Amino acid sequence: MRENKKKNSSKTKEFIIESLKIPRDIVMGDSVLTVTGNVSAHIENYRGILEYTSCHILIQGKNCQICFEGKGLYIDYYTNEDMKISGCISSIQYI
Amino acid sequence: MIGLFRFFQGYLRIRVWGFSPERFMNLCCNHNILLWDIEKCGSESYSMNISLNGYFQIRPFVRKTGTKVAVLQKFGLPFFIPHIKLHSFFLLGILGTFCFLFWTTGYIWKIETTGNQEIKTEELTAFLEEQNIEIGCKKSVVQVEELEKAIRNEFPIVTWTSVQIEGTRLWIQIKENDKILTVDKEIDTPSDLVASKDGIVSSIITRNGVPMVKAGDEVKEGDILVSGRVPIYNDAGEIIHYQLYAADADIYLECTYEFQASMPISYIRHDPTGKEYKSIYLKLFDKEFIFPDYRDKENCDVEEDRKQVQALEQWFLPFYYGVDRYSEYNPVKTKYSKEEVSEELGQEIHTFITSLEEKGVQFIEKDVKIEKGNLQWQLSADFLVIEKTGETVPIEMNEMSEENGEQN
Repeated sequence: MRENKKKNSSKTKEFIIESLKIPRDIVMGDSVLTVTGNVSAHIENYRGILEYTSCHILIQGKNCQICFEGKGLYIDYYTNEDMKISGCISSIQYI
Repeated sequence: MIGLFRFFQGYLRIRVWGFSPERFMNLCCNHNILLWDIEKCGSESYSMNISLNGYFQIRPFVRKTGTKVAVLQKFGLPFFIPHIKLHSFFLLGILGTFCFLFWTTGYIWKIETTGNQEIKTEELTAFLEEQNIEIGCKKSVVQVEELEKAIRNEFPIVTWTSVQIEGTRLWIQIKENDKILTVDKEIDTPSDLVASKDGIVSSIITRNGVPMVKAGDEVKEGDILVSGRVPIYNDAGEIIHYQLYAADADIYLECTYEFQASMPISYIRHDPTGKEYKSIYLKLFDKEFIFPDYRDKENCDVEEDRKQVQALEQWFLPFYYGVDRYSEYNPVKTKYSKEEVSEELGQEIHTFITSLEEKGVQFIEKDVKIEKGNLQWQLSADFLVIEKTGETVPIEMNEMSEENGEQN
């Protein structure tokens, strides 16, 4: 029953987004990722950090997890709203 | 700017390790505690910066996440003030410096003039001193618009001037005119044209008045060349009275100019010995300090490199510093060579000729002689030139009425 309810509510949201042209990050809570070259990434809409090493950062988003891999990864700042990762980013995966 | 704000609030560099440091970070973030420069150090520990206020709120999160926190470094003003309390004289010094800097902004510490070519900077400085404007005077003494007017009145060659006070600098910009602007005399004023120099009239074209000379006539300085008194004759051919006009004519006069210049036969040449001395120069307000002082040393050429201290671009302070370099020389009495003499005197005569040419004088003959005397070289030059003449002299009305009376 619950799963059906969830599916229905997500379908309704999808319908609203498509018909009213509202950004997905506001309605669905999708993470916004701004990557500059391969040296920095700016992330909004996330729940927290799951793993953090110098070559691997795993971030929990609302709908998925985002995995940054690279060398010398470093968190410049970390607030409730946004965070900035800098270093040499080699790959970004959505899990 | 953010860095400055953080500095005033104070912040700490901490190390977090234990069961779940990532969860600790997430909890901080969810409670609006700002973390920055998060770095993984070692296998299970992180180092990061945290604000001082944030640090006092993290105790529950530390317990909840089973982590431990250690302070690595402290930064910012809250940690600096206790040190300052121990060094109260240092604090007083800083405050005194700020007060002094604030006090200096009420005065002029540099006067700069630009655009003056004919007027020497020394002349302008002397004039400013007459107006009680000098280095160290209060800014309120300088009345910008009045000073601009005063400069224009004092120096007629100045066509435009701008006085600006920028920081502690008084900046005077000047534009000079090649020709001094003179108010044209009233055209209707009855006047004669008289010779301004002795010579022979080369050509004369009269537009208004009665020509008193013709081409080829010899005239002396002050002779009337064109008269503004035009006689009116009756039928019998007698003058009944004079009508007065402003005489107007183009008169060219063949005349001579003489020029003389001299220079000494010998001079003292400075042969450097290779010895050099340096002294440090400091000036605080009007007091000068030179270490070591070589000013009394004889036979030394001095090269001064002095600068004024600036707090900001336009904020000059009454402090000067620099280095004076003294290079020792052997004085050798040396005679000028012929080439040097001809070059030196030639420069002077060239300046004289250029100044005449600017006035529109045409040269016909030049006779230049350089002679060696007992003590000096003497240059004497005679020039035969053609120049425009005709000085306007107003006709005196009394004289005119007498003449008319005699005729009647």
